[in-house]
Amino acid sequence: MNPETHERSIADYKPIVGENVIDQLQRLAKKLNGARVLHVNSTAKGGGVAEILNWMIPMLHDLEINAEWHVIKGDQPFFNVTKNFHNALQGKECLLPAEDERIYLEHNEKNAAELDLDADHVFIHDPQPASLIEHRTRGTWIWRCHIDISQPCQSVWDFLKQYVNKYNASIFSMPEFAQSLPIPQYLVPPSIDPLSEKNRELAEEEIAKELEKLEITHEKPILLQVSRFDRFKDPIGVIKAYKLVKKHKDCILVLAGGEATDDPEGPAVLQEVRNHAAEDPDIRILSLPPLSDTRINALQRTADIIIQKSVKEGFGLTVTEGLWKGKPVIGGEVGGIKMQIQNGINGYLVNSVEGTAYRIRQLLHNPQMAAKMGTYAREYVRHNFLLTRHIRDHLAIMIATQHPQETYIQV
Amino acid sequence: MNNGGVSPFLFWDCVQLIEITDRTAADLSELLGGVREVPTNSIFLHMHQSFLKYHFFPPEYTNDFSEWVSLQLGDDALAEKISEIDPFDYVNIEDLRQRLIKILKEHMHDGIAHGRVRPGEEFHFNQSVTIEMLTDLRATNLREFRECLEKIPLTSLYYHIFEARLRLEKKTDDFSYWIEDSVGMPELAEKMNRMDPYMYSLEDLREELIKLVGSYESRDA
Repeated sequence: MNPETHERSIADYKPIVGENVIDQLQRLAKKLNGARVLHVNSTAKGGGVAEILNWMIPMLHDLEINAEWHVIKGDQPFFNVTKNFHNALQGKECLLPAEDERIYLEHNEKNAAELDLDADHVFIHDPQPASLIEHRTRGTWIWRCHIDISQPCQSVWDFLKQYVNKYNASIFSMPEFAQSLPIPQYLVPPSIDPLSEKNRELAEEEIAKELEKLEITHEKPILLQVSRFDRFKDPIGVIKAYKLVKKHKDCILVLAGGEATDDPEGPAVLQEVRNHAAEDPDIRILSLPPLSDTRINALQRTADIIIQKSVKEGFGLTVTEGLWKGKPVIGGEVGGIKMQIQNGINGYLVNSVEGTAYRIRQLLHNPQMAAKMGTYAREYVRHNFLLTRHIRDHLAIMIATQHPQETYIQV
Repeated sequence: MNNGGVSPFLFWDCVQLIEITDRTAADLSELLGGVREVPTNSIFLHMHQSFLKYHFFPPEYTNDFSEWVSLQLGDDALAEKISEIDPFDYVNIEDLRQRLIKILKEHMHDGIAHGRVRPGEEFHFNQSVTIEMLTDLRATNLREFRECLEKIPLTSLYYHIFEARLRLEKKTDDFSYWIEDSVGMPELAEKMNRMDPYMYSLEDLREELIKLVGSYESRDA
């Protein structure tokens, strides 16, 4: 299966990141000499990996890299097994019955028979297709792990590790996510696409139209947290912080999240959040349907302060999105949020409800300082977390895997 | 002075990949152990990677060791001692490593109580893999050199100022060397060599270099 990808040109990013950055990508790509590159994952739509591949493949084409994206096929038992793998790798207690191993290996064997795995560089995303390495014919193989496997359930990790060890290299999003492996582990943080629907510039009229649909007016400062209704995102903590702030400064709190159909706990958390909000008309709880990217974009652009008060977090792309909109972000001092927020410069890192309230008050009472922090926030993302940096890292890794053991490579 | 026989300055660019190791430190003793044993490219990375990140304001510390010791261990005295190391005082990274070891050991022997950080706050030792590429920018006189400085990516500046000097164990940065050796302007080379690049962001360093070179341009006729 070859998923449909969007068509945007690498040149479209020149006004955003500068000519230098695009030149550097072209220089790197040239060194790969039209290499055939294959990306394999397990889903064509939905989820962060598909989102990344959706923009990355056309960008690679634009750089004259012969890139393809394949999605493995599987039936329900296979995806049940890989879902359990996914949860186990993220720390959930697990059992690994021999039957699960058989289902996993058989499906990957079938996929290997159907896929053309003949490429100079093969990127295998996450655990689902990891054992395809058994069917390598040539090329360098790179395992791209998008999830936190720092404290995996051992039996599942031991099973998968025997395949991961056979790759030429691996990629992780954060140093904390890595494992002890005999192959190089490169650090490649996630990124956002500044031209995507969720991040593109919006005209004032577009923003106004979206807010009107939501019946939100900007008469008072708006505090916003965008994330699914999940206890790790601590939406109730955000409401408590808002209530502390409200004693000093009138404001609106918007909690916007997806409908979380795949999360069995989602509805219960949403109900708890509604109970905590009680009858306060200034707390707006939005359960947004899929394809609400323009709406989220408009909300982020309108908000005065963006909050991501997570108590556990992967990377936290909503933080990146908020910073890119030029807003100071108040985020929980956990996971990838620590990599994105420079405390007191582009936002604040917080560890409690009280800390969150205090920082909100500081920013609301000092709008000039908040605006300055917002400017810096956008620049920090421009330099570190846009898709051009992500492509650069991938190109560099392809070159690096051709020079194993070298730490200084002249091309 | 420039006389047509000047060998051109070729601008290189680099991309720095970060390779994660599974080595971490939760206290000073583990930090010292790591500093002793990690490869030199890890020491280089932790002393310099801050320059490749964008900074709106000068960061409190430009090396990762000081930042971690101050932020996570709360030991500002040690952070200050490490921050005062000038890597350009050392011909190679091995000597720089020995200086770091000495500072850490002396500080620990002073008997100051040091705790361990909470899980999640450990220092992560990473190492760098640098890919260097020739750009199509070249200069044969000061004017062209300044024009190139305006165009090069910041990673090129990073390469010529920090990478070339320390990792390739040169006694001077590439720019000063070329200006003295090929352009024949030792005074300008000396001024450039005396700049304190660890106190600038790469953007500011570019501006300073452009200003300095511009002020000598009329003499390079």
